[in-house]
Amino acid sequence: MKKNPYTLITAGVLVVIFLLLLFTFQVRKTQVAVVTNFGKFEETKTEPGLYFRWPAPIQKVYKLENRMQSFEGKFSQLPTRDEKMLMVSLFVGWRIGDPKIFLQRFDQGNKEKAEESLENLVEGAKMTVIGKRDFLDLISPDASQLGFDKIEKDILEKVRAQAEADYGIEVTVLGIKRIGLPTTVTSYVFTRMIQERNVLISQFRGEGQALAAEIRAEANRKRSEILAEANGQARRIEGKADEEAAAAYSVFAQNEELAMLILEVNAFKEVMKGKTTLILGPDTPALGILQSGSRNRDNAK
Amino acid sequence: MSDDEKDNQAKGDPDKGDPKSPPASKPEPTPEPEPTSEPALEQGKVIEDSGTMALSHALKRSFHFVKALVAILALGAVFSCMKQVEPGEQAVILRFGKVVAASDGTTVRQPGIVWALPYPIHEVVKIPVGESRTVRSTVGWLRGLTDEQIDTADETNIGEFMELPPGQHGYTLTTDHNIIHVRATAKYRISNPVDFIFNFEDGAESLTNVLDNAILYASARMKADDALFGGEDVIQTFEETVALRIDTLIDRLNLGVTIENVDVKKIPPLATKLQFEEVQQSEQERSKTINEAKGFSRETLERAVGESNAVISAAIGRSRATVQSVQADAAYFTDQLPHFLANRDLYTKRLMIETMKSSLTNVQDLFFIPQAVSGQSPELRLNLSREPEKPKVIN
Repeated sequence: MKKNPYTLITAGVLVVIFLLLLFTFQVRKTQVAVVTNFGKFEETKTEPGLYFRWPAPIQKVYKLENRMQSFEGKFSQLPTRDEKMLMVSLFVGWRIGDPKIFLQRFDQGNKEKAEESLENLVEGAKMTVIGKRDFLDLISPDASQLGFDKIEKDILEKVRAQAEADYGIEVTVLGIKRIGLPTTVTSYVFTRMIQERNVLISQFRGEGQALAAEIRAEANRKRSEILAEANGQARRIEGKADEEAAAAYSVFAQNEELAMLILEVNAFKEVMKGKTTLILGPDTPALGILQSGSRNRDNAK
Repeated sequence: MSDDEKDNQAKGDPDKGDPKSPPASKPEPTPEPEPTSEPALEQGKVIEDSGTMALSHALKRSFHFVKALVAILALGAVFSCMKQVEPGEQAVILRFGKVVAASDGTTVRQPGIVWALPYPIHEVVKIPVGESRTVRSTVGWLRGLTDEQIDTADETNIGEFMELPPGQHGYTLTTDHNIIHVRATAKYRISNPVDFIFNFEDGAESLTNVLDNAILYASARMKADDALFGGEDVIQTFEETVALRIDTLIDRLNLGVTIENVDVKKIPPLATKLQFEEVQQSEQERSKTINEAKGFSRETLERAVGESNAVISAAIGRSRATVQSVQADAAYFTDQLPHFLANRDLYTKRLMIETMKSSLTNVQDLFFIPQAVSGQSPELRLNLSREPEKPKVIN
């Protein structure tokens, strides 16, 4: 049975695996490893891959997270330079910059302890940086005055070197996560906002009425203007017509008698157009036949 | 022979990691196991009974079974080395924790079959790049309230929101020191899996931080009214500012994601909700009143233009008629003058008679008063208003 090649192969494979486990270790792409020799720092493996090691009592391998991790700092109250109370919290993105320092400083690379220390550092820097700024530096419509980015950058600059040197932490990003006001201030803000709204409400109402009245008055004024203009034009037209008529009338001067006759006849015809009751005396021309004889004819003329 | 194959694979790679691999593992030509072991069994022990025979047969059969099983297992091992990358996924292969580039030098594998040895030699990390994911800001909105509760909040409960203790409800501050609530929801896709998966412990959390920062940043640059309603003089809208800031921060972080769209919701504080609504209402009333006045104005002016046109055209008509009739008279006069001059008396009489003739046909009533007899003055009694007058009612 002992000569069975399968058994031999299996045993061989098992031995290989066992030795591999004892004498090698892997560093994943997301990790960084620190090797200690009898508890003393030996080397850091920052590149992923398979590495040789001596077995457990001799060498120890600590694997640490190499990716960016983040946490949110305290949402704490702090005064600005112009003595306004403000609440600010920051988010911090960090990764292990120097695994050796990190491991020594934080008790085999305890992440919670590391974040606690880093948070304290960041809190201190936050107080200092914002305390040197006015409230308006953080909140301003003027982009050049707005210190939002600058404040973030200043805090980052302040903690970066110390975090690297003391904790082996590289702070990769730092930004404002939360801004707030103390509770009592919020209710003050709301009261003020309500007042502002009320002002707007009465302003809009008044404006509406006033503007409408103005528009109506303007419309009426324009209407009168237009009509006056039209009447003036009408008068001018009629005046011109009268002139033309007068020119035409000059013909009548040739014989006033005929002119009067024609005008009278025209006027009479005009009058007789409606329903008329006519009372005629005996002298009416064309009715001579109703009278007797030549006396009537004499009278007619 | 699949057994050998498996052995080769199993130790082929670890060779370089383990310098002390035993030389025994080299495959050697294997003699047929059955003939060697079986005769030994039979020769060593004389056939004593049929029971032993049966046992030997059973063993022989089970040995075949084991062989088949090993073959299946080996086949299974080969198949387990095939990994399927589904559509919408990408994969990165790690060998001993290190990214392996494909033959064409790329590190990210596209959908299809990839070959990888079992863990801990190879590791296939699949990344769902196709699906679009959603992340939402966490610091600017009312906590624990549904959108419907916010929409339907009225005077019965908005009093509760007159104070906002820090940490309870989120909000942002605007440049006029007002408070507004903002919520940004971003849809994103992983565009660089290596960055997103291997550089960030929690990429989605980092993106949440980015969104939170962006809404604070945008609020810190605008007045509440401009942020909430936009304005004519707003160069960059609130939404644009948020989106721009998000892009800037993603670039700065090398997060490896592409933002597909950002939806920004913003409302005034609940404590001021009624007043904000009333402002809107009064604004609408204002435009309604003004529009009505404008309507009146338009109508008035149109009517005025109409009236003035009528006045003018009437004047034109009248003057044309005047001129024409005068001209007609003048023409008639010129025409008749020779006849009149020829015999004045006759002409006059004829004209008068003709006139009477044509006129009297139209007359409704005609009374003729004959010549009074013997010089007495004639008497005629006429009731001119023959329709009876309506009796006046005196109360």
